[in-house]
Amino acid sequence: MNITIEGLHFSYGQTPVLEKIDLSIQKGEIFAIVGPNGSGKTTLLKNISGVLTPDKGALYLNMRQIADLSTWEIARQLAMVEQDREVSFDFTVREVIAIGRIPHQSRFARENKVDKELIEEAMRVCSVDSLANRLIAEISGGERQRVFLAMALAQEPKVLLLDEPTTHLDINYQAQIMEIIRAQAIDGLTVVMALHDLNLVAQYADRAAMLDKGQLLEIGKPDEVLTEANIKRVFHADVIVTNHPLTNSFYVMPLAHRFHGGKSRSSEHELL
Amino acid sequence: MGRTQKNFQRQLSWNAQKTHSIRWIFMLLMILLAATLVIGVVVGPVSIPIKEVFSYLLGHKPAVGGSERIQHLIISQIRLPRVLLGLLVGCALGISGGTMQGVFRNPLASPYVVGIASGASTGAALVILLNLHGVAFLPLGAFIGGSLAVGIVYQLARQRDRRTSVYTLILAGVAVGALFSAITSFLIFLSAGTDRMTDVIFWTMGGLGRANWTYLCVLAPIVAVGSLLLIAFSRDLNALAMGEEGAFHLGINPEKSKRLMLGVATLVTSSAVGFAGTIGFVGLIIPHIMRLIMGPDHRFLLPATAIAGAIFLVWADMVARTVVQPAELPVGIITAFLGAPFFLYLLKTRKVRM
Repeated sequence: MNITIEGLHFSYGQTPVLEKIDLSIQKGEIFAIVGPNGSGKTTLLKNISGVLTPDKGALYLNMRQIADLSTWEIARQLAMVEQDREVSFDFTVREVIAIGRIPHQSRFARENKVDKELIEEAMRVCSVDSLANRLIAEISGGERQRVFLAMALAQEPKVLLLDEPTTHLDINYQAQIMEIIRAQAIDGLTVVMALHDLNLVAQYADRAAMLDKGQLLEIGKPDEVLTEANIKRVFHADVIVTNHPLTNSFYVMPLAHRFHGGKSRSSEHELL
Repeated sequence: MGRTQKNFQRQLSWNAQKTHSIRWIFMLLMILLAATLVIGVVVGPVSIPIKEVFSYLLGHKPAVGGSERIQHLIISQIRLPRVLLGLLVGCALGISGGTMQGVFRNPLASPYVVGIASGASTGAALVILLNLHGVAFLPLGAFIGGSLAVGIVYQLARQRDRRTSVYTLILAGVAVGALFSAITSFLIFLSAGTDRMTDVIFWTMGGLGRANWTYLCVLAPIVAVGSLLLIAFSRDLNALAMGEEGAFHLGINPEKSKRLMLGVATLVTSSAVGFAGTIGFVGLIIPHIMRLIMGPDHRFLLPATAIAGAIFLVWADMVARTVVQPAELPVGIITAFLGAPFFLYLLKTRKVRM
């Protein structure tokens, strides 16, 4: 499913958060939104998901304007894993994933065979099947993130939005999550995610957009977007971007000040 | 929740999936319900043989002048209406409690805690004092009062980030509840010396003693339709457990569905309060215990709380009318004796989320 964004403006009250966003994301693409905290990444995702309504401009899912779709119709095509989701009550992992089937069930329906198969498939893909009967509150952060991903996949989405899916995760879990997402994208799922780890963007994203104070600075392949100049401008950080000798994908390495022309301590905050 | 309790629940919900025990729980509940109906009619100051209960239920007409005739009269005019009122009120309080805990995403919410009961009391007391005849006025007055109270608490407890804070909820509920109780007391004070005053005082104590068939005819459809509506929307509560945005991404409009469920729960609770006075803690402990036994899936939890609430209240009423014979305790005293310590225990052991 393609996503098209035309001239989007959004503000919280008087404060403009997103300005003049034009973007087009293709089916099966992994699209990363990067930018510092407060640059509007989450707000952009929430506009795409329909939680927030733009002040100006339009968003389309396959030529249909999101504003014309009901909450129900959106949920049948689009799933989102928001940041820091909290589940109330002691649901088990399997129960949480089964809740992802709601958009495809009628009000009085119980879990049918198709539901069961999709739930089990999602659990297997995200390797949480061994956790099925554990309580969601009792598992680790990395496990919980995979459970929410499984719940989103059980929803059979055509578009998957992820807000910082790897935050607070150990490095092995980060790679695991990204691999699951990549496999789904190969099968045709359109993935849009806000990601602050630039190296994960370099490694996994097909394309990326860099947001600077609510405006799009650059859209393109990761190596076109994550340039030393762009990162310096948006993050105020000095980095070296280079190709990794083994993987041949490029990586971004932040520079500590003392390696960079020996500036005085007073300007150190620029780095932080 | 304590460690052992959690393990207990995990084990139970694990079993639930392994053996389809949810089906068994419902069968057990239905058997208990039927047994409660019969035992509730048997137990009382005049004991009635079980044989006569069945003979009455089967529609047999005993000969004029016999002792069976009197027993049938007691069954039809006193015991049965009382037991049925108990079932309806218990069902109403149980399912409303389960609904409110889901809507507020908090296991400490209940019709009492969020002030509905106090508001409904004020409304119903006003109806009694104004001497409005007509049995429909009681639930109507109670509903207006209850809606007012829950509306205020709901608005107060919703914070800017739209998450309901448990402390704000309980504090707002206590404050609004106290305000409405004060209004009720003031109304009683104003009516001092009139016959109405004793009516209101007895009514505020809460009890099933004034049960009659007219009450049942008004209350039964409200509770039945309300409960079915809540059960129909029960899966929205599962979605809401993922947070408001989580619910939105599952195709549920969180605000709409919360308002609808809260409205129906308020109607059902208020009507129950209108006929039976305020009976506390049923709506708090029943959903909690049922959640412990069968897990938090509201599609099963809500019907279970309805049945369990009905069973519990009839048993509490049996204790109330037999423990200090020949006098009768208000049933609210019994439920409070059981419920208040339980509530304190929950406050102490539960990890309370802000």
